[in-house]
Amino acid sequence: MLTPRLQRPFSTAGFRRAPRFAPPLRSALLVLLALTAPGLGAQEAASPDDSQQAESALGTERPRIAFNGFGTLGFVHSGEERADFVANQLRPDGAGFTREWSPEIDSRLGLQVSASLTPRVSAVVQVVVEQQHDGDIEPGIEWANLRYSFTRDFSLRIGRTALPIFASSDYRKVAYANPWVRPPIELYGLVPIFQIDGVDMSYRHRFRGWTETLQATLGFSDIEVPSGSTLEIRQMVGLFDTLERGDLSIHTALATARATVPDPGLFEGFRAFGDEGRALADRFEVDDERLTFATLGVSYDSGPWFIQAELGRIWTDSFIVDRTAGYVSAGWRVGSLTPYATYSESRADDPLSSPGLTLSRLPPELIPVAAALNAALNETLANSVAQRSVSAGLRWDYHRNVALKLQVDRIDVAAGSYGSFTQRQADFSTGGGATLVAVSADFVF
Amino acid sequence: MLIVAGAADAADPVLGDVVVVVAAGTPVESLDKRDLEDIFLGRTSTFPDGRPAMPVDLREGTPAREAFYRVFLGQSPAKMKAHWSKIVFTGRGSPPREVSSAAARELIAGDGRAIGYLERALADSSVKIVEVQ
Repeated sequence: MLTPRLQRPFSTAGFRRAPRFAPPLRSALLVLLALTAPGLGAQEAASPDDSQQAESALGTERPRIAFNGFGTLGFVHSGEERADFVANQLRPDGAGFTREWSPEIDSRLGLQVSASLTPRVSAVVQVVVEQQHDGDIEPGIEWANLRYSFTRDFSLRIGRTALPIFASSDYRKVAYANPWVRPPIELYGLVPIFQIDGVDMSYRHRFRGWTETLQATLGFSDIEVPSGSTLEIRQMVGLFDTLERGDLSIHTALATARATVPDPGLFEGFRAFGDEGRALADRFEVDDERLTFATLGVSYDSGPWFIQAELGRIWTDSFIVDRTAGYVSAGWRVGSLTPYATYSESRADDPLSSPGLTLSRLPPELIPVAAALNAALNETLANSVAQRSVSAGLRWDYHRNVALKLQVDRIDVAAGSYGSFTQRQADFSTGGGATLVAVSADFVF
Repeated sequence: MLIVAGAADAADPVLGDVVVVVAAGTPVESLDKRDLEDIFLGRTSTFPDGRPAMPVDLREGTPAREAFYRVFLGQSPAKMKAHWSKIVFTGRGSPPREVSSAAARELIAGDGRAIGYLERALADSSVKIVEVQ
């Protein structure tokens, strides 16, 4: 039955990876943990020792364990009280309606253990504690992989890695490493896949002063969404290229996968309505559906100032509406202060609504059911984020390992879209907007 | 001489007096600023001729370290910290080894892969000053 719980049944943006593993990976992870755990106590002994022979990328003389962490304590206020702003659509609630100031949007704690096991084999496990799809604050496994280096610049990884769709995908949660409070949500929410379980190969080389890093990834992902459903990503193939020269960096990505979202009854309902219903179900259902993404990002960081811009496009033929998104951001470093500004936008390339079943052709007793199906379909389409935001912020490098940030965002949602808002109350409609204020402290250790 | 780019900053005796060094026997005489940057920012693990390179840092807060990054690479300590955060938390590597000035000289002198920087006064015959262009 279609219930009001369908409010945000399968949001597409910002899908977040669930902290669980497919069976083959689970055993790989156990081996990895078994290898790293005994070394933990030796960490202090392996800390920098002036007389000790240093290691190079491949030349580690003996196993070495490194323990690092990062985190953010941040609060967000939204001026819209009839709905919750969420930076990631996999989150069930945020700031505005549920709480005036939400600590859950940006706050997190990440812990990482990395180990050089032999000169060629290294492992990394990173756990991030933050709000999950069900609202609980729990650890999730971000990274868990083994790397085998054929040479210094050619390596293979197996396990869980981040999918580098965007320039900052890999470290999007390490707010200290980014100028902003959070990466621009219009673009970073465009592609639902952030992590992938599988294999990837990376090759780095230099030519004419450029350093190029090519990466090819194969894998799958199961992404849990707030409704309790799971987005299954299969046969993911991605090609990624990063070109760097001095202060200039260019990132391109192309990826494709097949996606399935279990039907909560919506499309089954449409299929009961003859040819027209079947055509609508085929048009919008995400059942072994091809998803394709492409992105291009350019960043120039001279030190005293930086500018970066990224553009991305997602193609599907489903209720995950085709969209184009991008942003441009610039900042200046004045001593320990970095004022910055960002313009970010995502646009729907297909309509955010559908006429649905033609009610006038139906027998009167079927009209209420058909109207409910149409409404549920349109509610689902309106979940696709089409909005723009203008942000201004200030980063203060207050201490060597700590940055304090203040950011104000003005979000304007496009007509027909609910934008980045969930927990919507009856008087909240599409095409809204809000002014957000965020304060945060980011740290690394 | 072009050896010390930092000499331009004559107002600060420390800034003007940091030199890039390798072991006396390492066949590296000069480096482009860009090559030096690639080595210290972790973008490459080799010298331009393909020989393995291992950058060595002085400890955080050492004046010579700040001078080296500012003068040779145009980078502030905060920006370097953010740079390495990206690399460390994506499992792609770790920042250069950090040692004291005295240990740096000993380490560099004894390892043909090593490249580092020292106050000029500390650069004795066990190391070779690299010209940075």
